[in-house]
Amino acid sequence: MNKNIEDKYLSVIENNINVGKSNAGTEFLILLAGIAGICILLYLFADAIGCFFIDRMSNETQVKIENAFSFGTKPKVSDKNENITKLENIRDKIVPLDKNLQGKSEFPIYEVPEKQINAFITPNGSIFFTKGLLKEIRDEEVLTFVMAHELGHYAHRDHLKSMSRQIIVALITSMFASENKDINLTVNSISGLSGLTYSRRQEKEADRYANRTVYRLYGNNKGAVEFFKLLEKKEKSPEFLQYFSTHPSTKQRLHLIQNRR
Amino acid sequence: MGDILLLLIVLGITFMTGTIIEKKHFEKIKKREIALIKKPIINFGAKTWHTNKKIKKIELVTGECVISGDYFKNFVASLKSFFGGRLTTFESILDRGRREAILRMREKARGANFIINTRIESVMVNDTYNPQDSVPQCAIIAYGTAITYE
Amino acid sequence: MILTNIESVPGMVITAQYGLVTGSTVRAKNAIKDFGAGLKNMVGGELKSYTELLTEAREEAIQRMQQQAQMMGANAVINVRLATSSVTVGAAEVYAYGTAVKVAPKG
Repeated sequence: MNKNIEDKYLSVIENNINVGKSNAGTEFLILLAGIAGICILLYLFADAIGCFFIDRMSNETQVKIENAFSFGTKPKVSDKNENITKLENIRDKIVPLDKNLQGKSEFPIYEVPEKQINAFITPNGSIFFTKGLLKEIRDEEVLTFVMAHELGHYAHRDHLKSMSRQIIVALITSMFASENKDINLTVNSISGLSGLTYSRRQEKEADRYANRTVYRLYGNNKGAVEFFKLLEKKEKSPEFLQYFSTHPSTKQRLHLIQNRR
Repeated sequence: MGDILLLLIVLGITFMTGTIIEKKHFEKIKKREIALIKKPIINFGAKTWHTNKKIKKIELVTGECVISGDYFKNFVASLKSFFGGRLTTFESILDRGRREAILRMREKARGANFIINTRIESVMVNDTYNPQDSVPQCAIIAYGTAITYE
Repeated sequence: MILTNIESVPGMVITAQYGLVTGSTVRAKNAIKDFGAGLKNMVGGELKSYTELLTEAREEAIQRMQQQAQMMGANAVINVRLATSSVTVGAAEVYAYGTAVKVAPKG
């Protein structure tokens, strides 16, 4: 009798009813997948809404919004020189080709005294080239490709799209996850990664746009190919790192525009 | 992207250490519970508790334990509370804490025949001013009256 | 299974005592319900989703306690106590404990 009761106690101790039977590791993976799924859906939703309104927006509204966003500190720029006049000539060749670019911004061009190779365009249409890029690239066709790439971002309204997407995502996540810091951390990491996917897509679109422009101006895309070959020589990061960066890998970009009109 | 990598590394390390510590703790608790198997605690009202035997000693016995979960468990629990449902990782932490406190109480009453009217209280000792930023730490106290027959 | 929060079962005699049985659970509601409760706090009144949460947690804790008692071969749990504590924001923890006993009708 006594032995029997002891066995029953043992079974209670062994069974441990008060703890749910699930592995914390697998549970973590399932939860992470669930949150990632929600994040991706959220991004798709935000992207659809943003693109829907921004693609239908009139040019006047675009200019108004861009001017509202053009506050903030301007990077240090150097004075006008022959490089800039050269770039301005290129710009004046590209702008008449696309009516999306006309009647909005003046597209002023500046030179930033920085060493690395980079060029960017601000929401209000100012184009910045680094000194390193102008030193490295002299060829006009290559410069045309770089310029057309930046103007492509502007013509596609990429700045407005990414801004609207971020605003919508931030609005929704702040409603549900603001009180929980771990959730915020996870959502931010995942949405950072999915935001980069969109950024890479926009870069590809801009590349295609620039490629078309170069074709129309010169009848070939030698400039574009040359540009990516140069980039390939300069950078030494492995291929998989592209999933953590704003641009697709150079190899992929080169592949995208080769043999393509 | 560095902070994502850091987060994953911290999660991975705390998952491993937390699992090992929990497993060892549960094994220890089981061993001690089996050792004490012949001394059941009776959570019994004192009003109707009476015996004809002579009582040698009456003593209040207590056992305390403060326990906290690891980073990984807290992280999983907060993810889970987004979807709702049972927070299994916290259940194991609290179960460990409670059993530890009860065991300590029972071990203090080693020579006793009964522990009557046991009560278990728990209180969270987190930073109460910003509870969402602090790790849940649970203080558990178990107490009862140990009775030894002559 | 008979549950009481007094020291005996009225009308019955205790024939065997098995000791402490416990049951506990931690539960949370999803983020949408948390958000709704936050809105409800503005106007006050009963937070239905959290009431539901507490009911679920209490039921589960008691059920686990009963399971332990059943394993021991008891048919009643007497002197049941319920304790709650707040583990994190929006989560409820219910802990139920009592004495597992075997009872038989008087006489």
